[in-house]
Amino acid sequence: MSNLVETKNLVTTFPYDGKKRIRAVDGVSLNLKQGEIVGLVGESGSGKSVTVMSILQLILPPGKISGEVNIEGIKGNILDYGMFSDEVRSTRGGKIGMIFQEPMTSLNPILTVGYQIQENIMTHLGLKESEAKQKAIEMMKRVGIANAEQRFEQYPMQFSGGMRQRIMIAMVLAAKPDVLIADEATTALDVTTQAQILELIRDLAKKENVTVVIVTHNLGLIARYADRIYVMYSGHIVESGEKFEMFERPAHPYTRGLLNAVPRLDDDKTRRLVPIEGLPPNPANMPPYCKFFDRCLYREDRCKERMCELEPISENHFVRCCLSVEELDKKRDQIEGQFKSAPVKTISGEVCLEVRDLKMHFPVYRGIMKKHVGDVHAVDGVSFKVYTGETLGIVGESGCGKSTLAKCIMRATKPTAGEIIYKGTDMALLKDRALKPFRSKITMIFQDPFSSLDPRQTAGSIVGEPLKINKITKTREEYNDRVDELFRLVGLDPEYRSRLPREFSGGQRQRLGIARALASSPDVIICDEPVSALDVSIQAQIINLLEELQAKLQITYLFIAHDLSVVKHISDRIIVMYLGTVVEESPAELLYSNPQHPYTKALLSAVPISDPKVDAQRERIKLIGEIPSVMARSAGCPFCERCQYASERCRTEKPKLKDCGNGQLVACFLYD
Amino acid sequence: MNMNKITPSSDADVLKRAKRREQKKRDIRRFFRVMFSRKIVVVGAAGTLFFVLVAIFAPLIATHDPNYIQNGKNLLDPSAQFLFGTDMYGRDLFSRIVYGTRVSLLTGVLSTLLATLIGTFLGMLAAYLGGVVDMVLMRICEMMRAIPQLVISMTLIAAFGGSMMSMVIILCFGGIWNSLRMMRASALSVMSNDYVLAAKLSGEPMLKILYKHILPNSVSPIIVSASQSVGFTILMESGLSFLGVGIKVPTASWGSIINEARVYLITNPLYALIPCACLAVLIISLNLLGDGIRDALDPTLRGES
Repeated sequence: MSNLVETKNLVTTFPYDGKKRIRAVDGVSLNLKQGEIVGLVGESGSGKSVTVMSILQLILPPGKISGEVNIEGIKGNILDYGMFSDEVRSTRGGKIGMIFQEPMTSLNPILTVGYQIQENIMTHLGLKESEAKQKAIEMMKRVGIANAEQRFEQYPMQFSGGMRQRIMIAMVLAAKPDVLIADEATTALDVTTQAQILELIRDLAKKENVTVVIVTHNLGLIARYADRIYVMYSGHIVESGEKFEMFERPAHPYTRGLLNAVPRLDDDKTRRLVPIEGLPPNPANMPPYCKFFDRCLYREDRCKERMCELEPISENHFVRCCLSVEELDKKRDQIEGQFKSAPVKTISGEVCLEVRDLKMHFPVYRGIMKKHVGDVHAVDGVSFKVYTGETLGIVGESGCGKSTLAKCIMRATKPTAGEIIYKGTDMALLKDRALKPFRSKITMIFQDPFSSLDPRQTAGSIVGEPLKINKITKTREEYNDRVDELFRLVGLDPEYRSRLPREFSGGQRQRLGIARALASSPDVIICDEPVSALDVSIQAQIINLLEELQAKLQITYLFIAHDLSVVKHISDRIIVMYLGTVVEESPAELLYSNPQHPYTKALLSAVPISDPKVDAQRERIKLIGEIPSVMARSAGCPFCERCQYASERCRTEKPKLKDCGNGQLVACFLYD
Repeated sequence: MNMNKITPSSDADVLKRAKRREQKKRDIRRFFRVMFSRKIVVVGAAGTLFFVLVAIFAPLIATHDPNYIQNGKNLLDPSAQFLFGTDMYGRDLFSRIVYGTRVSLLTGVLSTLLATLIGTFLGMLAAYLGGVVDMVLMRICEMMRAIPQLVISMTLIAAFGGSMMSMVIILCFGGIWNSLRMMRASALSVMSNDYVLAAKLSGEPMLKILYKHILPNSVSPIIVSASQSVGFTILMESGLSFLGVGIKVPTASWGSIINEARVYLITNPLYALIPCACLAVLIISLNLLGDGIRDALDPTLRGES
């Protein structure tokens, strides 16, 4: 089969500090064949987006592209044609279509979606307006949009994120491209929507024999949807090959490292993640040898002698490493033998925090007179207990109320009703002054390591702030000692105390956030998506740190996240939330092996496991529809409209959490 | 906890402090480098400095008592004795303009400073407390902006009289609202950051959050706008004086000099032109300096030029 698109030694550079240029893409050679799905995987800054943008010549000056890009049907190197030449313009959107990450901004809000699809068809296929409209409606139907004729006239704001991404797909596919590039196209979406969209892309691509490039940082997605994989690191392709081969016999130390660093749904409780220590090299001063050298567990002195090239190790498997596969495999046993197992923690039977029937309703006003027209039930009767020293995971898709729940427990907002009992005191309705003693005992780790640290305070004063507020340390000396101790506890050098947050990397900033949460020796730490803004290799570092701290200090965690694999890895028990209610509560192990609630089952099946063999064997449950609007909630089970087992009773009566023995609680009439 | 405690030796402490001082120095140097990266800003700074020096050393520079009337020597042309000539009453124009610089700068700077301080504080309160406080303050703001500032100022002068102090307060009253609105917007965007929530959740009292977290992160646009509104305030004062409702006579003010001179525009053009030129040069200088401060504090606010 010939190559549809082929790049040879593609180099994209950007100016840096005057005359120097950094190489964002450093000699990438890849090829795309008809009808295959190719995964381009790498962490942020690895150059994967710049690579696809360079192929489409979307790099604006002062960025410069060099090398060779050959596209079938166009003579010679497409880089020789100008950025605005007809050849390049007909390639963009015509031969190669692209879907971007942010569905909220990639459609023009003042034009109807129909017009936007139609416009694309008219440009690339040269159809007349009425024909184009027919075609556009047909495309909308193909991507699964109901009532396409009516929705044709609607504006992007009337569509949800997942629906907008469908529109994007319709728009791109309407021009009959040979290649479809999805640049992190589902990263901003919920897992169940993500699965829907990717399945749609895959099915359409197979049907029409379109080549798809999935650009992502998520190994699981690649394992599930791609046929062939390119792994990128610091502008290089470090490994490429067929999916099954790559996951079964990963060769490059970086690929091996990534697979060891990601939590998996089918993990056993004792598995400890192995982070890739350190950070990717600064693009401004790249070493002249292997770029992964500093973080590599397999490194040898000879790696420093030269820059190795991408070389074949079998027919379709290429690796960029100085060591041969045999040498790497031999070293593996020795290296993996040193991996520590997960720290052992002790969970006491004592209830540390209990939430009883917590409700948080936000009123909705409408009209000039601000008439009260209803309430948004963000959290609607949630109850659970957390025992000292355990980790309770709270998982659910966006809009399920998990963050609102965290805010209520932190008492950042006052709940509408219910009890939050910490060590015997109900603090749900306490006033600010009365809350003060609890502030030091329940602390929080935030999602975004960039917005959670004051950019004008030094690291030391950020970490030490709770000490001062709660007057925990008496003297200056004691304060200094404690701050140094906190820095060491989270694995930072106390020397860094006088630095500003901007001088730290994302992972280090999150460590500062953890140190601040630990400062007042809390009993409970609420972690609101603490790792979702981090790259996988860094994510593993933070998860390990949290586990170690728990074992050492006997802290109770409430771990809130949308990533089921992460929650499953760190938690002892998990509650699954849907539209403000708890649908299932279960020990972490049982949740994966024996899910009860139909929503839990669907959620689990939407999360890919980064092992294609295991993943292919799992049962697939597709969810119908999307999360209903916050205002239109059914009187019965919140899940009934998307549930395939829903009966009449589900629509009228709300199921209560029931014990099914073995520690699992489920709110569903199926188990009555 | 089981970590070994190390008290940092005093040597290391001293070293660290020296390092921080070094860093601060570097920051300040960087600030001035960016600020003066455009040559025109240097001109503005020089102009401003010139007038500031004139205002400070007015008694040394002035050749006569600005209010002393020399009988029969009214409306003289410039000469060695009277550098800019004399005014309609026979007072030395040069000395009057030199002393007028004091009035202009003092009222301009003082009232802007005061307005910015009050506006910043109220703006932060409005943003932080929200609800009723926010609503009341914003409605007052809107009311104040709906009435021309000149009208408000003239009314207040009628009530409080035209002393220097009341002039400062009256001009300040007009300036509060703009900085209040700006501060509120700026503080609101800072408050959406998690570090403010973190401080709140660790039990920090409100005033401390305002002072420690919100103020330093939201104040730079306010400083920029204040530096640019000094010129406007000076213009306002001159305008009021020109209308005859400003600083009480016989205190020399550029506005009142221009007012007196307007009758003699044809016969003695320099009488009016000199104070006008001074006013123009000072305000342009101040605005250029303000642009420089803006560039240095917040590069994202920079215009196309």
